Amino acid sequence: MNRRDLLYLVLKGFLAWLLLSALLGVCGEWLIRALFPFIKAVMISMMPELSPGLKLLKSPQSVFDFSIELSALVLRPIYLNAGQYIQPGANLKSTADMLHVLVPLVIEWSILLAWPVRNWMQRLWLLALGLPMAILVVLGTLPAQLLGNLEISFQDIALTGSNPRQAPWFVDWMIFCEMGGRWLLGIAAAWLCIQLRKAFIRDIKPVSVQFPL
Amino acid sequence: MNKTKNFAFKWQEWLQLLLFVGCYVLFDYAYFKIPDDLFINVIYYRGVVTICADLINFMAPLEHVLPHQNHLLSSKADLEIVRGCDGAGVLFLLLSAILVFPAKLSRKLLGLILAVGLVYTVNLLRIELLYFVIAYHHAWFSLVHTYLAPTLMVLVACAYFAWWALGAADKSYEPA
Repeated sequence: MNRRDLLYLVLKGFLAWLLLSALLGVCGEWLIRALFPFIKAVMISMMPELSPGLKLLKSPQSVFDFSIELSALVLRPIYLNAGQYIQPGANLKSTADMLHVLVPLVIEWSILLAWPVRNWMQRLWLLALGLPMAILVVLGTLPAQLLGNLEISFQDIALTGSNPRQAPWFVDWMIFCEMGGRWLLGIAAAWLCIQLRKAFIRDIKPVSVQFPL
Repeated sequence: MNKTKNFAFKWQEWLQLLLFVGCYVLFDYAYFKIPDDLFINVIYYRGVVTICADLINFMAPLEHVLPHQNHLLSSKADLEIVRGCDGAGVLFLLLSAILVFPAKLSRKLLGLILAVGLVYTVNLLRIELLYFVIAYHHAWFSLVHTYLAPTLMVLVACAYFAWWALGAADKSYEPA
């Protein structure tokens, strides 16, 4: 690789980012809605005391973004400390910005679109592997973010009494992701796609077909 | 012989990923050991807020921006710099990548120093931009803060890393 290739690579990365940003503007809402059942399933496994419902709302703070709203019905009492608990039937709410959630996906796919490959088949394989990987990253971050926001408000109350509720693991995970960990996940996901393609998918040599005149 | 070489090379790549993630986690852990007071009253105030206020007042003297702890204050906006808004995430990514990439020590040191300078400068520009966005186009703030700025900063970091690695690599890497 020489400097010209490097410049070409950077330009490709930037164009990929522009393209993906435009695509998110058009398809982001649809993509997140399609993932709602999976996100709910992950949330139920993380916090069985809640029955989650998800909605996509026009963000009140931004004209360009949507808010993902978690509306969780409490099924069993959630003990906050020795004297306080949340009663069954209570409805708890938490939100996350849609575009913020999709940042790792954009990072991952920008890398996959810019990564040097020998032919278009390799690029297609990278993108095909990138889709499930991106979904895994969203499923690994969004449920923790929505439930983590709720848990932080639980903790604020819990710490006012004796024997407070212990913060679950996903609060630390949420903080890690919010600090930039989700960018790391995007990069690591892209790297995994590149390695998986190299390891498991053999190159298919382009076949030249000659038609008889 | 060739197969053994390939196998070793593949393992080296996986080890590099593990080290990259490990370095990032260590930086993140160390970052959370720094007390909030030190961030608010010293690091953010002296290292970010005061400089940004001076730069904004230099570019737009009518703004009359005042630095206060971790806040940029003016009659039009109050921008608070908190953990995570200091470019630390991007810096940790870049430092981890440079540390684990096979290169000479002198090249690594140069890469690390330039990386700190680059992320710091880009982050100052980001904060200034966010100030003007919050002051004059509030509806754009969420888009710029949660999407445009982070993705562009990571792309700039990737481009810098590619440039640095191009000079640092002692062998040519084959495409995927």
